[in-house]
Amino acid sequence: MKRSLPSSREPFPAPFRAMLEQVLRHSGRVQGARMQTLRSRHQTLQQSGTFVGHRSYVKGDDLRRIDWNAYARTGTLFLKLLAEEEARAATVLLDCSPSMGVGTPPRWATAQRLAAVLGGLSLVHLDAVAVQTTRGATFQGRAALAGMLDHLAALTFLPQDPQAVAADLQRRRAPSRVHWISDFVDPTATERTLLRLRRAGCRVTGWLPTIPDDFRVEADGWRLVCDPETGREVPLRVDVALARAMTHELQVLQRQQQRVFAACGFPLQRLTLPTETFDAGRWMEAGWSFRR
Amino acid sequence: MELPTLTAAHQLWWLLALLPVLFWLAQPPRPRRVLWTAHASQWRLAQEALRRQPPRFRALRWLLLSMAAVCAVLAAADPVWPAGIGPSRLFVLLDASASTAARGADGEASPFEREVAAVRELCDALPLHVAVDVAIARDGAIARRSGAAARALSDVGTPSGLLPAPLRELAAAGARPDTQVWTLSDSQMPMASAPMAGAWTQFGAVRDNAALESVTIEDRWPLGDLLVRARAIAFAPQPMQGQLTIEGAIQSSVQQPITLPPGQFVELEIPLVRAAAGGRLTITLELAGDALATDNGYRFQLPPLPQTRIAVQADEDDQGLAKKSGAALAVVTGGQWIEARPGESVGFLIVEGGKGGLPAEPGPMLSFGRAREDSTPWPAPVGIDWNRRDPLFGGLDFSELEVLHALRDALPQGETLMSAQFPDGTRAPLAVLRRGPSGSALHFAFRLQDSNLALLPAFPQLLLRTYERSQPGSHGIALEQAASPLAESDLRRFDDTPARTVPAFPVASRNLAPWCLFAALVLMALRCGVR
Repeated sequence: MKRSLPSSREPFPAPFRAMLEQVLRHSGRVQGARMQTLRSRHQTLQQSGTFVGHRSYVKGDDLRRIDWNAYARTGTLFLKLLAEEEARAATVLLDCSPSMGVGTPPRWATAQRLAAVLGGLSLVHLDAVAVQTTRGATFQGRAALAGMLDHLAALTFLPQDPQAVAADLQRRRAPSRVHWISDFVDPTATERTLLRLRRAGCRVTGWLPTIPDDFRVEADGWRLVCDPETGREVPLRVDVALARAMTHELQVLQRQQQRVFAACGFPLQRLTLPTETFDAGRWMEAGWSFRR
Repeated sequence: MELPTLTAAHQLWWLLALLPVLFWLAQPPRPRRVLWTAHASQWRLAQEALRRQPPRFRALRWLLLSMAAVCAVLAAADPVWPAGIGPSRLFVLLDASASTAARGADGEASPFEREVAAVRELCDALPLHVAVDVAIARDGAIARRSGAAARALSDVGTPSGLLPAPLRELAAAGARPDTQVWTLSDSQMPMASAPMAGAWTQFGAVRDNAALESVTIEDRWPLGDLLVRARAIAFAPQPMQGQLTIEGAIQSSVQQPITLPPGQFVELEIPLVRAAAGGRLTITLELAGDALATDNGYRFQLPPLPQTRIAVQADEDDQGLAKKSGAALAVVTGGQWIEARPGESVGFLIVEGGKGGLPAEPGPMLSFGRAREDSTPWPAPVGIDWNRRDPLFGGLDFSELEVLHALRDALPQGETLMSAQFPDGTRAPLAVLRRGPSGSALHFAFRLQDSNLALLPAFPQLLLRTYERSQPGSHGIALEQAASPLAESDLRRFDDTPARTVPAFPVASRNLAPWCLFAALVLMALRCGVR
């Protein structure tokens, strides 16, 4: 009998959506978000182009780019968007391999919410965000947030090769700023992918939503250990010695992950995000930052 | 080729329960708690660090265990390799009649010795599963041996006597569907002719033989004279010459030359004088070229002759009847009579009258009217009667016996042989017989001179019978050993039916259960060695 991963709950419940709106409205308090805004504003002032549309005004936008006529008609502030030769955008690369579905609580839900936050911030502060998953999609403007959430919520697990994903990014000329959300359980494949992205000129930030299983193992007797990638099931008697050895191996894995990213010159963010409570303040204290 | 079979095949039902249980037990543990992990590689590395391997179903170990279980169940089902088709018993019929003791002139083995050797040789080569029965026919009977005693065939005795029945009938009686009959004989016709079925081995040969057909002895006890009559015959194509030897308990041995014409009886009468001490008397026919020795001899046991000194003790009123009786008896027995004196050793004592006690231990004695202190006169006893069935008085007529005076209460306790009637109608003994280890004593309650007993015709016979029967022990001549029957002596005719050999016996059924158990143990050992 084929065993299946435990089903995950709704990744974007209403409390999360409310918190996400709150985070996006006060995105300036997010460490690094302001830097992103200044960078985009600087680029916006120094370029010109054809009018391609509007986006909602957010605090800190350049007042000179407000479309007052639209404000007169609708009573809402909009900024005029001009087409550029190189779009100011980011790529959110979300790992959809089945190994993301494990953990209590599941790492996948945290990864989806993290992708939503990163994508939302990109939609707010940049011109567009490309969400690269099992099926790629590009979203532009603040109004595309709901569509992006639906896209993320509809994602399913599919075994994928990180190098193939990187090649796909390169072929599609996706934005070079890449937020890679994954568990990075295979340091070797991760290193090859990072080197490939670096050769392509991408700047990568690794995001690793942590779960308790990444740090400790309980010695609680016989367990049927299942690998979601291969479906292999191994009965194991998890005693104190094995739990200790496994904890050691997990520490080795963490060091390998850190070494791989450091060797490639990219940052790796380990985030332990709240899963049950969606309080903006606690999310902001998670320690993640754009500045790196 | 026979295939192995199972005696208790129903035991195989255990496999239906056993194999699934073993398969279930061989399965690796299936924990109910499931741990989905992204760190499968780390789990593997952690186990390798501890030199552990995850439990898994080991097909080879399960296969070896299952095969061991199958072997054990097969052992319980009692597997056997069936025996081959054919007899499983051997019935050996040995002819041990007197003729099988015949030997040739060169002293070769007798047919019986060759029969025994042949049986022992075959039994040595016979498979152990073959049950052996040996029937030795001799003396009109069959002695049977089975099992190890039959295979060893020791202490087989010597040939003697006749066959109880023709060999054909004996072999047919021993035949069974699972039995191979093997008859061994000298094939002397007609009793020992070849059976119709079964194996047949004969060791007979034409030989010259002579036999003593019979020997009779005419005894003149208590005199020492003997007359031996021997009857002999030769079974040969030409006359046989030799001698008849008589030796042993006689005063001088006799060697009588004899010539036996073919097929004719020759009778010899030889007078002898026996030795007083008695002993063994042997009569042997010795002829040149005689093949069979067991039909040539007779052996008798002669008792010692009695003492013939006869003493007579009579009172003063004796009219000489007692002394004359003693003298007559001495003449008949060849002895002498004397006056009885104290301390004299005699063979027989005749007492007439007198007063006094009788010897406490009875011996050869005949007394008439010996009075005791408490004896009372018994005038004219009437109604005299005697025991006609007793060997002593049987056939004697005492009807004309008249007794003038007898003694009442004068006789000792003993067997009453004669009695008379008192006037009051009661009866009392007139003669009693006392028996003892030293002989017997006959006592009469009246004297010879007070009766007409000495004048009766039965008196001499009574006197002689009393003398004979009062002697201690038996005085008859006993035959110790006779020659073999004449039917076994003719060695000129034998059955020349060709020999039929004993066929090979099929292999025995083999129990394969120990092998199955051994295989189970080996498989279990292999399983312990397989990781």
